[in-house]
Amino acid sequence: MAGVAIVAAACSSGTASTAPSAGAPSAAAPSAGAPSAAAPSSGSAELAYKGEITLWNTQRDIENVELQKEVQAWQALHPGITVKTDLVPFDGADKKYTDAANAGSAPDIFRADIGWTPTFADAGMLLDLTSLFPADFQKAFLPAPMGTALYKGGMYGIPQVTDALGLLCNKSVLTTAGLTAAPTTWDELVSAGTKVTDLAAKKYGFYMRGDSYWAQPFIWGWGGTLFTVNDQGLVTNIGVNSPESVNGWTYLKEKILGTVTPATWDFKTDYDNMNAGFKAGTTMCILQGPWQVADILKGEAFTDPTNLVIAKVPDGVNGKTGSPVGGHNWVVNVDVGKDADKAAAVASFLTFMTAPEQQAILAKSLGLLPTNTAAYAIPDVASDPLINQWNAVLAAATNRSGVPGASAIYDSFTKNYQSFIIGDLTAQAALDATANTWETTVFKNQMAQ
Amino acid sequence: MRSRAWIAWAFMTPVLLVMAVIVFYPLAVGVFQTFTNIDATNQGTRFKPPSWEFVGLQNYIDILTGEATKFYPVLAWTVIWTVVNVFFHYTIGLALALALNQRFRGRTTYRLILLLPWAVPAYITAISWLFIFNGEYGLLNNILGVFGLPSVAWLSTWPWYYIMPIIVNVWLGIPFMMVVLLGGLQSIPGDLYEAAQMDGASPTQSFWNITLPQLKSVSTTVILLGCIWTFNIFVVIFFITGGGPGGKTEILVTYTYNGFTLGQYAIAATYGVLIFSLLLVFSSVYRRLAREA
Repeated sequence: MAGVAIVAAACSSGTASTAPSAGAPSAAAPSAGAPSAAAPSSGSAELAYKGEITLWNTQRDIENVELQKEVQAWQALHPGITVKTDLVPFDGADKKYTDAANAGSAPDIFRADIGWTPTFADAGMLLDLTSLFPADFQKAFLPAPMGTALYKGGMYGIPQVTDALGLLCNKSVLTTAGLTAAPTTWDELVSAGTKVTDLAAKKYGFYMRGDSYWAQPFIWGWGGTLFTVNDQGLVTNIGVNSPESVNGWTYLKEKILGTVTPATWDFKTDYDNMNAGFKAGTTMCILQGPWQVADILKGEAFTDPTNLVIAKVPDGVNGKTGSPVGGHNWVVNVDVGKDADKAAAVASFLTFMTAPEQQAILAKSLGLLPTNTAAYAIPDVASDPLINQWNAVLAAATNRSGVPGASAIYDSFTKNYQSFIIGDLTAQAALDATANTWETTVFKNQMAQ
Repeated sequence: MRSRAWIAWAFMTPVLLVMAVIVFYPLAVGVFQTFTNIDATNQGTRFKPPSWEFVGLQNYIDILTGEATKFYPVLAWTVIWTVVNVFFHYTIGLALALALNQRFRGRTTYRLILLLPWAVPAYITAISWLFIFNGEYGLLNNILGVFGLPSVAWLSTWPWYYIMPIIVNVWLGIPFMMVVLLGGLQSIPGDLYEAAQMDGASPTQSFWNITLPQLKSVSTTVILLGCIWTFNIFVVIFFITGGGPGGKTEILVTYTYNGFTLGQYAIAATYGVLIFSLLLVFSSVYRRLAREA
C-alpha cells in the first residue's frame, strides 16, 4: 500500500514548458551566507500563542519518524505550544483536505503536493503567507520549488521538498552490459540493456510503469509538450497529442517494451514490482525519484551504496531530456490568519522546519532534496554523492507554472496510456483521447479565448 | 382499527425520521443534482458563492447518447460481470449445500471452513488475491515457473483482466449462497424423498423434481439479492484491477466513484440515479416473472 501512495506522491507536477528548471541547486548553493530565513526560527523567542497547532502530514512512515523528531525539537524551544500531527494517506488527501476546508475543519498546516497548491489557493482555502515572513525569505529557496508555491502574486506555501524522476542504475549490471556510466540516451539504454535482459528469467535492462507520470519523459524527450499556459494562468494550447509525443510513445512501444522490459505488465502493482526487481539486482535501470532512495539502499544489490548510480533521464532524439519535477509545500489554512498570534507561531514553526539545518537532516537520513539553497552548502549535504547526482537530474528536469486543477490531468492520461500499452489504442488515438478530455473536462473553464 | 394504526405509526416515526435524514434527503439532493452542472469548482463553498446552473436533462442525454462518457461499454461489462458471478455463486453454492446436507464425519468443520471467505473482510480477501495474481512475483506465476511456463501479467492481459476479478468475487459470494440454500434444503420435508424413493425415483430425478422446485422461493430471493449485490460490489474491482487496464474493468459503481473523486458531482449523481433505476426495473420485472413461473 505504501507504494501506491508514493507513486501518487510523485504525480504532482504536470506540464509543459520545456525550459529546464531555473534553479540548479549547486549553482545557488553558496548564496548570501546564512539566509535570514534560518536565523529567527531556531532562536527560542517567546511566542504569544499558547495551545495547539494541527498538522496533516502526507509523508510515508520513515519520513514521518524524522518529522516527529523535528517537531519535538521545535516544541522544546516553544513551551506551551503543541504541534498535533496526523498522518493522512497521500492518495485522496487533496479531496479530504478540500472537504475539511469547506466544512471549516481543516488543519492549520497541511503538506500539499505542488500540483494541489494552486488549486487550493484558487479556491480561497489558503493563507497568503507573504506578510508573515521576512521580505527576502523567498530568496532563500530554490526558484523552481518556490515557484510552485506562488500564485497570483501571493505566497501560498513553503517548499518542503523537491524531486524529479531520474534514471537509477545498478553499476555492476551496467558493467556486465558493457557500460561504464549510466546510459545517456534511450538508444544506448536499449542496446546495452538487451545484453542483460532475459524476459523469461525476469532479468530486465529496464522496467516501465503503467502510470502516465512515468510516460512523460517519452513525450518531452521527443520534443513534445503536455499543454501551455499564459500569464493569466489560462491554458492556451493542449499539445499532448502532437506528432512529437506520438513519436516518443511509438519509440517506447517498439524499441523498449518487449525488448528490455516486459511488453505488458501488472499496472496495479508495478511500482512495488519495479523497486523489488531493482533492489534484488535483476533490473539494470529504472526511473525513480529521490523519495524512494532510502528504501532502495536497503536492497541486497545495494549493500554497497556506491553500486547505485543516479543520472538524468536519458535523451530521446536531438539530445532532449525530460523529467517531471515534483515536490510538496507546507500550506496554511486561511482561518489561521484570523489569529495573529497563532499565525506568528505557525510562521515560526514553518521557518524552523524548512531551515537549512533541518532539511540537511532529511537529506542525510532519507536522501530527500532540500528546497532551501543554504542546505546544499552544509558539509554533510555538500559531500553526499547521491545528493550531488540528484542535482544534475534536477538541473535537466522539466518544470512548469501551476494551474489550478492541473493535477487532474493524470486520471484520463493514465487510462489512455494503459489502453495504448495493451494494444487497444494507437499512440495517436490514446493521446487524442487524452487531449479531448483535458479540453472538455479538466480545463473546461480555463481555456484561453 | 383506528387505534391500532396509531400505534403502528408511533412505532414507525423514529425510524422514518432517521431514514428521512440519512436516506430520503440525500437521495432527493442527489436526484436534484442530476438536473444541474454542479461540480467541485462551482458547488459553492464558504470561500466562493455557488455558480452552478440548471441544465435540465442534459446529463441524462450526454450519458445515454454516449457523449463524453463510456456508459454502454461499462454497462455491458457490468451486466456480464453480474450474470457470470451470480451463475457461479448459485451453482457452486448449491453443489456445496447439497454436499453439506449429507451426513458425514466432520460436517461441522467443513461448514466452518467453507464459511471462512465470508468471515474475512472483503478488502483483505481482495488484497490477498492480489498477491497471488502479481504479474512478477505472484504465487500463480511462481507455479507456472516451476513448470517452465512464461509468466503472465494477469491484470493487464486479455481475457485474464476480466477473469481474475470474477474468480475473486465468486470466492467471496459462495458462502452466502451456500448457507441460505443449505437452510432451504433442510426445510424440505424428508418424507417427500422417502415417497420418491418408494416410487423408484433416482437421486437425479429427486433433485430435479423435488429439491429444485422446493428451493424455488429461496432461490429466487437469493438470486435477486445476489444480482443486486454483485451489480453494486465496489471493493473487488477497486482493489483487484482498480478499473484497469485503461478503464476496461470498470463497473458502473466504480465508474461513478471516479466521477465523485474527480469532482464531477452532477455526472456522478446521474450515474447513481441510472444505477438505481436499472436495479428497480430489473427487480420488479424479475419478481413478476418469478411469481408467474
